[in-house]
Amino acid sequence: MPNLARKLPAGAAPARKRSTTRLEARIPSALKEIIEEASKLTGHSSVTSYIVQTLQESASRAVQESRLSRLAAAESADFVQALLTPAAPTQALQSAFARYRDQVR
Amino acid sequence: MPYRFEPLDSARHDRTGFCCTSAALTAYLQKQARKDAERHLAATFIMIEEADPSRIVGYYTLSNYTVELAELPAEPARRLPRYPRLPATLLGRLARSKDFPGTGQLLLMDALARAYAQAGGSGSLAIVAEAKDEWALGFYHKYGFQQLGAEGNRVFLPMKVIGRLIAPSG
Repeated sequence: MPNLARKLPAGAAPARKRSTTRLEARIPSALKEIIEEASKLTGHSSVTSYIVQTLQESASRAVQESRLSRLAAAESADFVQALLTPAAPTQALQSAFARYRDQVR
Repeated sequence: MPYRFEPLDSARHDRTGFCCTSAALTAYLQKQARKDAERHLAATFIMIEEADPSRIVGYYTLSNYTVELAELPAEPARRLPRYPRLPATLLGRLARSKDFPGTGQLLLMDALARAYAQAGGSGSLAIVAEAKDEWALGFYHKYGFQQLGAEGNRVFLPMKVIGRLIAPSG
């Protein structure tokens, strides 16, 4: 079973006892046979350990994806251009920031 | 009426009393924000009135973000780091209470100022916002955000623009 405990920064309170929960899913018998075969081929001691590891990897990737934008060539050029030659703040931005300075401590 | 911003503190801020026009954004603050902060996935900042510091006026979240570039034409690329992954800051969520119309722009301004102040340490080059609908897209465009890539719902503002706003002479 892969270690799912979350990382804590040094000095943080000790992790609470790791809680677990059940996850169930009905799947076609044929799919289960494939999963059993795959877990053997990849050296897992049980189908569960194979499923947990595979799911964890896939879930981490999904989270990572949502924290990254991949730009095509033309879009990259536009982005870099905007960083190198930034526009002046719009009138709306300047007014909003003046209000912010006035109303927020 | 002076306002203040603070990191989310579930002991002091009344999350259950908060309600905005989006059920998803209301639920995020009530059920997920604290967990995400514990896991260092996203930090939530709360806007309050000084006179009533437990009542939440609005909130926003910041997290680290990456913009991956395609191979660039030689000219602009020469002036940038060689690796094509640029650090940015994600403004993932921004919501104000139904009871406080007109405070959305103050939430955005604090997010910009905070992202800019943190950028020195993290090297962030731009703030990226996720617009959940057409209205939100118009909101960000008004303040100078530009489209990021082709996806349509992500927009960005270079840190240098925020720098000009905060220190116009610099």
